[in-house]
Amino acid sequence: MFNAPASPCGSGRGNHESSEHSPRSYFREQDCFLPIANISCIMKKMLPSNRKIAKDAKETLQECVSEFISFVTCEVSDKCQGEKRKTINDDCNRTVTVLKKEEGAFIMLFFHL
Amino acid sequence: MRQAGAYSGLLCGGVSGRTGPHSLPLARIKKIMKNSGEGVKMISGEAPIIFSKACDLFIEELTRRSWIMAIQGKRRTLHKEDLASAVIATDIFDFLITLVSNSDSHAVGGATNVMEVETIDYS
Repeated sequence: MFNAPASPCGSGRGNHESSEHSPRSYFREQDCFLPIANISCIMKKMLPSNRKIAKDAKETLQECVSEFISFVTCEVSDKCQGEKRKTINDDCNRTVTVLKKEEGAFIMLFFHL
Repeated sequence: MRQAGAYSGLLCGGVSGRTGPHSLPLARIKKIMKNSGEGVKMISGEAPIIFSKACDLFIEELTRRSWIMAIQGKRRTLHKEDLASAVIATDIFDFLITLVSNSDSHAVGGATNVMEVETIDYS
């Protein structure tokens, strides 16, 4: 669902031989993911102070978060298209995804899917 | 003397001294949303804010479940295999199975029963 860029190092300048690639399709690889420092900070809040997190775990979770955003966005987008709406907004997000905490557990419910 | 504003970072600094109440960058979230599919055209201002909170909860829960896997493996360091085991053992993370399967070339070991994970007391 979440496709990594074909050329992550592309700067968007030059190399416009292929008509199928618009300048907008060039973006850096780090733009696909949320900053690892922020993710690491949230992870550390959940663990005891003397515990460590491996670098590969941080990177995997970084990918998982991006996949989560893409997954929910696609579901919301499909619902918007079904309702002939062009904007993903607050109301649409709330009807599709309910995110809440109950007794420390993360509960994710998808409605109307 | 000029008072610190509500979003100045002195009163409610986010992660690593970021200004504002959001721990994750909204512009980056919006960029990921736009890159997620061709159908995504317009995104309102409130949507990335909701996603910021959602991602916060998502990271917390996946970390908590992964940590349970690490404890069961009698380890003090959280590894990628623990994340993979947590994803496999939890129904709501089914959409991540292909991602953790692709990242692991070898079979993921230590995937415990779902019931063991679900009945953990978080207090």
